[in-house]
Amino acid sequence: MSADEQIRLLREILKWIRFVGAKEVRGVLEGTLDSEQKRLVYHLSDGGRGAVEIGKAANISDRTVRRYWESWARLGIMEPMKVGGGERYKKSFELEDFGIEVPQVASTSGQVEKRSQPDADEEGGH
Amino acid sequence: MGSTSPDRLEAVDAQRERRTTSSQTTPESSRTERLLSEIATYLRISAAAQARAKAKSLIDSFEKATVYSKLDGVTAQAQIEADTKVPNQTISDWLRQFVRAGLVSPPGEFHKRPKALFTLDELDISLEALGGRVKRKRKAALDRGISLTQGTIGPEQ
Repeated sequence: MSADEQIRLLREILKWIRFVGAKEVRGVLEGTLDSEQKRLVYHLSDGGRGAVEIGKAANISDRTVRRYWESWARLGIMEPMKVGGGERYKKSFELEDFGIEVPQVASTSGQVEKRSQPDADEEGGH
Repeated sequence: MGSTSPDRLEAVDAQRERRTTSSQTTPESSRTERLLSEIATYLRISAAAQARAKAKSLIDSFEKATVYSKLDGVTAQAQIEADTKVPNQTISDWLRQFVRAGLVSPPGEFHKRPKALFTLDELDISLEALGGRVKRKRKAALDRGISLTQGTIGPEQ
């Protein structure tokens, strides 16, 4: 089987698994992200932003962001990734896909929405 | 998403995939990895949701939950016994129950010791809550002048 065929097959499998699993995933997301602040932290955790940057946007400490990340990873809705000498987490799902409203980022941190490059120097690991 | 058709989702997915892979140097392998990773994530969450009820009825004590959380596919049973103070035979009995319930995979090709398929968080089982329950049971027993040394191990009596 060629690489293209494999990818096409995987896409097809994913399509149906998403369809079947959507209800469960939405349940976990809604149950876990039970405040606007948590939803914002989750939404901003795209792997490109560090805990400090997200903490500022959500008005919480970077330590709290990391605590959320670890807890959400244990639930299977985030995945860890290596950045520089530390570790950062990336959301596994897009809230919009599940009809969950994405909170607006405060205007003071409007720059957060524009950034996408890793900022490894702020990651100290755990 | 439940009301969204699989085909629309596939289109959105393909769009995201193009965005993701356009900035990467090995498009084929990274696309495969990304798809496999997402498939695994969905399967895991769906499976955890199905296993939750059974897990909650089976993992009903602090000690049992602690033992379950230590089944990483690497740690030896003797080490788990030393860490948790749960007798070896009890651990063996629980392992059989866990495997039968589909909560633990037996040793195999990828890991040489039993491995928990889920985290306690995924199963919505809280060690803290179970610990609190043990304390309450101990206190109630003490109030009645009964020793509960055995009662904390295994299902609630």
